[in-house]
Amino acid sequence: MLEGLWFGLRGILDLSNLIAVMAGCLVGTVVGVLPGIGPTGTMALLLPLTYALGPTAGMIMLAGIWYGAQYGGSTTSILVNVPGEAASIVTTLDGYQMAKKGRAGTALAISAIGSFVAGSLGVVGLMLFAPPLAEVALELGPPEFLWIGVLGLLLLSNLSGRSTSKALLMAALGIMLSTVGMDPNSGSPRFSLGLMSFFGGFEFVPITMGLFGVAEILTSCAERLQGWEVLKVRFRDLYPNRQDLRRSWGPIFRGGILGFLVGLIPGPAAVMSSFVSYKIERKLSRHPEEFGQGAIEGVAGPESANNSATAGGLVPLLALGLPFAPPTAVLLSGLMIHGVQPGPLLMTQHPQLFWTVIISMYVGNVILLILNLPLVGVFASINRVRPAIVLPVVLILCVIGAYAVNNSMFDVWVMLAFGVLGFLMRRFGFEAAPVILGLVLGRVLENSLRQSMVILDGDFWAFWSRPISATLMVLAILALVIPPLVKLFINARQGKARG
Amino acid sequence: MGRKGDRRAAVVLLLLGLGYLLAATQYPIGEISNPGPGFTPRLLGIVFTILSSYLLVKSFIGPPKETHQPAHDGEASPGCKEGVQVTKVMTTLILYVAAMNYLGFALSTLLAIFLNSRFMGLEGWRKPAFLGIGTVVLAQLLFVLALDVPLPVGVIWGR
Repeated sequence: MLEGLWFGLRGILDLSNLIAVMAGCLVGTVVGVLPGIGPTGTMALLLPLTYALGPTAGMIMLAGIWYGAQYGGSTTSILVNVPGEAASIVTTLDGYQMAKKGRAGTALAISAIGSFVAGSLGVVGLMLFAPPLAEVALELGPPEFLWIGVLGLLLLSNLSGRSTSKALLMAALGIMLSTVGMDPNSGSPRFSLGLMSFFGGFEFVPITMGLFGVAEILTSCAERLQGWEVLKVRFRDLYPNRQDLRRSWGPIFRGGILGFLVGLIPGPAAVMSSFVSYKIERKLSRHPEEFGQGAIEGVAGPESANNSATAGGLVPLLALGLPFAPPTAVLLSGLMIHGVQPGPLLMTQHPQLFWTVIISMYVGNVILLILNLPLVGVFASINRVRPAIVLPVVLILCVIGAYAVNNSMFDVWVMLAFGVLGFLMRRFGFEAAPVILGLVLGRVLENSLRQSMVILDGDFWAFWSRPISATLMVLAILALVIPPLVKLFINARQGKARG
Repeated sequence: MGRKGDRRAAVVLLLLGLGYLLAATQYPIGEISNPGPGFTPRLLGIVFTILSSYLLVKSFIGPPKETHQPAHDGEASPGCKEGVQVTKVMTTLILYVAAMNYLGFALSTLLAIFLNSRFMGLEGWRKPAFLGIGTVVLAQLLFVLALDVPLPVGVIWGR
């Protein structure tokens, strides 16, 4: 590990990597601050830029956008009472109440300090967890990878949105999209409608930009196109007092550990971890009545948890090569553009890349702390810019971004089609994340399934003869069966209570 | 969106699943010990059809839902005015992409930004025009000069 850290330290001193981490953190903070533009869409939009940057700098920049957005999201939640990012929804509850009582500076400072401490804790976790997991993963074969993928999609469907059946449908739709194009084994085209453009299959970038970029902008058009009222904050207020710090340390450390662990589970980890942390802090607090009225623990815990969750989310990507959240799917795409396959061999084949990304996250957290404390007023004022100025420009950037992947107008049309689809999906209560993950994991799942059937000689029961595969199958069955049973139980209890 | 919305979505998805399943039967399924290109699509088509049928049945017999519950906090159901706005923005975007090869990136982008910023509520002519010109200049500098992306110049300009 020490050798790896040395690799990383040398790597981050490269000027292009330093510029990439700064650019990523800056862009991440801005998209975090702006409601309606999320990190996934932005990461996909800037994916073509990584052609010029190379795999290490590209990965550093994209990861910076992701964790940078978690810092920025809290600023809008606290000063505007609108979550800049989904993971900061819960921060509006107490953060805005603190701001209304003239304690915006303290809320912002605790949020930034918590994000820094927990973000750094998360990186330590990533550094400690990913290498041993990758070693274990080297022993796994296609049957195990098949069931890891299935389990991941099932957990994601249980945890995304309100309806498991809708989320499962969307995951299946994503896998169906992944089957368009050349069959990986025989090379014959499938579902191509006789059109050459479909032979290569659907590109990940235009679909992601459509579902997360264009659809978000169309939704914003249907909601609100005015600038926001931003509460003012003075620089001298950005110092929490001793009591604030005393009340915040516990939530920050608990949030850091909890966020990392939730990050390991497939699903919207940053959002989930912030809600879980809020609930835990309210339970543990000596002043639960203050929650919702401006309790500092209600800001410190969730804001720490959502930052640490991003580091946790990187573990399955870097160690197994399997992305279980849309932003990590973009990161996977960014690596594969350069022919780098994340997975168990990444750390041995590309140690420089792995360790430089790790060190860049430490550096990025320091940069973000500096950016988000003294410059918080500047970032918050971005919300005064009218969406009528920002959104048309972002739409054009989406078009250029989709075009730049292959210099092809076909990709632009795909992006527009998925933009409309994404908008309709939101209106009908379907989540976009399972589609993206189905699309990315679909190819892995199909290859693993077909290879498994060959290895096991078509005997489906042989999956049970492999201990890890059998365990994963049991977990997958439980993930499928337990949520409806729990729902039935809750409904029955509520019915009893009413009756 | 409620049960009615779920019903409509389920019907569309069911038709999609059946269409996909039908198309999947064109590809050889192979053997169970050596699956062919039609194996996974058939499996997927069946799963998708079952899930969409379940959604359809649930929309008839499930407990009544309240009207549209937003998927994200702050998301509201667009009214008629907002619906028209979204249609205008999207139509402009489609026309923009369709016209780009003919008019070229610069002119079509200028027009698209001008129209969309006005549809989104930017008043007057000057601000939308400046926004369009600024975007075109910045995009040319960043994408064409710095990143070497060959954006369409336009058939009407003879290229």
